[in-house]
Amino acid sequence: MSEQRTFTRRQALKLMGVGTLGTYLAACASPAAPAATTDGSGDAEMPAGEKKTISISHIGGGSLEASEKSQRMQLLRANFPDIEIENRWVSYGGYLDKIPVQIASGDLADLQFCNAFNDIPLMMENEIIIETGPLLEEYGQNIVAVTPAKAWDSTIYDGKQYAVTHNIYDLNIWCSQYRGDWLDKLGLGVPETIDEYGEVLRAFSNSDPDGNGKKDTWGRLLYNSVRFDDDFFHAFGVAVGHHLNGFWRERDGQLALDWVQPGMKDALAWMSDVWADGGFHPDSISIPLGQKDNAFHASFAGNVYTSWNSIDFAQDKIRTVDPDAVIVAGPAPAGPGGRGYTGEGWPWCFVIPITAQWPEDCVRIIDWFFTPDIAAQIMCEGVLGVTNKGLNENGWCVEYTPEEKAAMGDEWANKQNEVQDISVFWGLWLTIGTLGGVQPFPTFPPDMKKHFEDMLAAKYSENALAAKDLSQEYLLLTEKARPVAAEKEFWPGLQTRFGEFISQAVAGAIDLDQGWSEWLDFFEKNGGPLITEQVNQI
Amino acid sequence: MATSAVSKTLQGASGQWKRYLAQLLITVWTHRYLYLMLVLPFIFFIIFRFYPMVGNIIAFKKYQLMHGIWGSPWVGLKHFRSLFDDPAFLRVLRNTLSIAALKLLVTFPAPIVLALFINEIRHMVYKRFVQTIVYVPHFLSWVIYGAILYIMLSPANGLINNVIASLGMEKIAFFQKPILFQPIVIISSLLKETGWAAIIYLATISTIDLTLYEAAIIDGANRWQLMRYVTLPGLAMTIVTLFILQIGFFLNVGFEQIFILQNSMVLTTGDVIETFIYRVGIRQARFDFTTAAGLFNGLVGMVLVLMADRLAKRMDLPGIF
Amino acid sequence: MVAARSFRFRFETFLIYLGLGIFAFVAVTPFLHTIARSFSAEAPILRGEVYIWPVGFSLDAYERLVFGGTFWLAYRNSFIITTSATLVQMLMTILCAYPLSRAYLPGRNFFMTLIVFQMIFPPSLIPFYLTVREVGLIDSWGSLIWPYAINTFNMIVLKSYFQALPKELEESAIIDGANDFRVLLHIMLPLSVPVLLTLTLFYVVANWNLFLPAIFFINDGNKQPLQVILRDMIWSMQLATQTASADDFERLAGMEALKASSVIIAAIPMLIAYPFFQRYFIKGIMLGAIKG
Repeated sequence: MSEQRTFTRRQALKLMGVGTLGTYLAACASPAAPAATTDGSGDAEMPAGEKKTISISHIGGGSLEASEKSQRMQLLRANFPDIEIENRWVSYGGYLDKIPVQIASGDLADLQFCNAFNDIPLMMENEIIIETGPLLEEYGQNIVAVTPAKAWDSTIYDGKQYAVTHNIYDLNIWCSQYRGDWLDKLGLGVPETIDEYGEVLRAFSNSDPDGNGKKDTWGRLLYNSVRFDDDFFHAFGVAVGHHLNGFWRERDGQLALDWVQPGMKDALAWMSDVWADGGFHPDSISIPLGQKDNAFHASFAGNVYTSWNSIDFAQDKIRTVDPDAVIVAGPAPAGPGGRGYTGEGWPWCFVIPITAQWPEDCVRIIDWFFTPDIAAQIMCEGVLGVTNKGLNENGWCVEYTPEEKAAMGDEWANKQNEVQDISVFWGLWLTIGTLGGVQPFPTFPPDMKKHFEDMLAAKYSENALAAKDLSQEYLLLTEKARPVAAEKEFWPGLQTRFGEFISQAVAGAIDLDQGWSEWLDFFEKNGGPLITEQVNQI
Repeated sequence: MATSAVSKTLQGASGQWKRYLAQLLITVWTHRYLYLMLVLPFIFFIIFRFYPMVGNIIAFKKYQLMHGIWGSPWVGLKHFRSLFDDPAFLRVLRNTLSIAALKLLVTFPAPIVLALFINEIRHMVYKRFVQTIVYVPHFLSWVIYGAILYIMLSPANGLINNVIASLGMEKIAFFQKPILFQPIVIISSLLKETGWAAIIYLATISTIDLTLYEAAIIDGANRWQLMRYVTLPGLAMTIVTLFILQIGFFLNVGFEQIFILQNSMVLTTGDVIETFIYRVGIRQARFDFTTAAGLFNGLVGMVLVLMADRLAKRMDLPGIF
Repeated sequence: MVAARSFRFRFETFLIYLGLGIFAFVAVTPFLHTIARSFSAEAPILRGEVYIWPVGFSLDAYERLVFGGTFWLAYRNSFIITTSATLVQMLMTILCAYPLSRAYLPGRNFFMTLIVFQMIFPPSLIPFYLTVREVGLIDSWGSLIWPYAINTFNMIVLKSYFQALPKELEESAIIDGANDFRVLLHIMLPLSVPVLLTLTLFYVVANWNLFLPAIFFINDGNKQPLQVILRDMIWSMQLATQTASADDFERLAGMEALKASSVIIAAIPMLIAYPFFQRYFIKGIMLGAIKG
């Protein structure tokens, strides 16, 4: 690989040196093919004294996580003295722009972090990643032991598996949350049914729950294009699917998309009623993506559908405005079509490109993180010994409790400033689970498991832990295993058209009956049946 | 006879050709330093523009990484057809043309007017102050600027809507009304970019010969006449150059701005070619399709540039060629 | 008669001053608002109480930015990239624009046609990326400099300007035995100071705001320019509100102010630079006067 690079560089220099149209045309006749065409053979001979180089991509979270300064990286390097780890950092803000270029040019890291839904289909089409099933069997026992079998579904093509790992991701971290103090003031309970839910939203908007005599409260702020408000839809037996990704269920022995089921029209009719009564914040739908929860945090909205683990944080934030604020989670509202919260599944994973020279070592590296002894050292949040307490006598890391952090005051803030670049966000470390807190592995010995379970419980309030249970209880996942080929061409069009239709329907900007039949017609003519057919072939 | 005539003509022709060649060599040698200057830029254009530009042929191929740019199979005009056949294309084209025309009519002349007026300020401190202030908003990215627009225009408690409400009128959900989308785009780019774009005109004004003003004043010209007969002609070349360059990117109406400001309620007036290509092409890694769309944009730009250049030359103004 | 004209003149002047003042104020309001946000507490920002004056004054956001190591590293990177890229770009732009501005130069039209052609049909992303890789620039700052060495737009502006300069100056210098390099250096460039500075400013600002090329071409976290780091910070924080862990939430406190302060800090060097350039625009006027 590196040899080939030097060669093309020399070619280019020659080109620069002569710089005439003739050489230019000559060069055009034989341009270098993309680098990915070199076959990464795993059994390449290793010259003595040289290290194997393995590149790893990290997404976001500050650049230093991937450098010598990070304790986790030091530990990794110390454990693999024969491997030179080359860190590649991808800004989270730039990930969506970069990954298509990486795929089309073949420039992937040896351990490439990616989204199983969006990226693996493109990688498969370009034939640039290798099958990982046999490698995992041999070198990835720890990974296999902690990953639920169903998690691999989205990475299996023609019966072969193409990912090394799936992050230990909370299946569902979303649930509906309410201002408990407002409910009390209005004499309402946490809604159980969709009708009660509608009443609560209307009351939050129209009955002045904060008692300041001003019309400055609302039920809920709908996210951009109504693409994250599935708790309403599930009551009618359908769902939009987070990010407008679609939601498929088995109907009459066939998988079918919820977007074209009659329940969808009922759900939209219900929502446009609430909208007409002022139950939704007027910035709904048009709000920029980043400001979804702001109205809730500012004590303008009394209801939000978001991750359970943000409850304590949100409550603190609201209390700077309204000291009596209490947040409680509620069950998914029940309606004629059932009830549920949409879970996102297991979208993030590591893959190995065909350019990787040492695929076995790639798997070994990640598997090492999944051995209980190592995981117990690195799975704590923050930086070992700085923003957590370091290792205890068993060699397991220990976090500060919220009370201890509060007691430290400024000192805690300083510690955080000190390591803010080394924040654990996404990257290599995501594989062992940072979303929604530490997740003890099923492979942990009982005492180790208890240590981390206790630590997790100590971090959250009772309300938050109750919310966690609720979000798990009402979890629903799409039954479509993975994207299909026809989606590449047709899905963006369907997504846009559907997002436009439901937004306008909810806001009452169009006639629902007419809009609905137009949408069904569009779906029929623009790849809907073909996608359905392919989904059912998997 | 005939053969000798032919050979004579040939000889004559080759002699003429030789003379022509010799003359050319002499001219080239006379200007050798000018050609020398062009060597580095020439190398730059060859390597980073023309060489990769050959890769634009993927617009007519199904690009597959395994086969590279050259080995990928040809698909003819498939990508162009899928661009034009897309149900969204007509709407997207209409919106793009409408925003592009508005930008050309409103946001293109605005910095010229601003520069002319700033030039009228005689008070030096105030002049510098205004000049600096209008330049500043350029440094807010559209992400930030868009967020601020939402805050100012929010129907919940935005500044503008508070004023509207205090006047006893009904609040307006600015970002949910398709009819308001294009005006918002134009006004926001006016506020954000006019000062920045005026810089080049201000710099050009500063090079206009002062004696021209003095002579005109002696002839009794007033403020508006000075503007009309001295400053504007002094700017004419810059204006024409920028206009022709601008029109080459006629269909590129500003991806970032539109992408940030649009939402699913206003796509009827707010979806443009660039946002469409982003969704359908770039996010899906369909670079062959994206390239085809880029060629279409370029073709329109090229035609317009050639037309504008002709027009300018017919009006005795300098073109860009 | 004279008095009436003078009144009308003054009245018009007043209107112009007032009009420009109002435009400037409206245009700068979003920036003032951003400054106010950067110094405000979170709650007033979220409740929409901050307009152009801070509410609940706080320096926390700046403190957090300034104490982050990556931030200074990125700042330094951006400085290096901006200065070196601008030097290269100005040199290349002048070298390209001057010969092409000489109407008598054989082959000039052909070359101009090629250049306009490449401007309107730029290489598409993937071939461009592959070329940068073939030249061996991936993961080096060179990838942010060489592939962008000439901005066609700026080059054509400069070319048009050179073209409009009086031909007599060049002719007399040639008669005195000066070669084209000397003509360019000693006659053309000094006459073009305001335009050269404008283009320098354009390049400086473009280089400073550079974002996408760094995303595509740079893999090393320690080589990233400022804009990438700042956007990453804001992005990952926005994302964190829906998925992150409790530890991340603590860092999210004051996020709105942090977003605003990062914008301000990134803009400061450009705001400081501008008056410097502006002074030379005015100098340009004096040059014109002397010439007359």
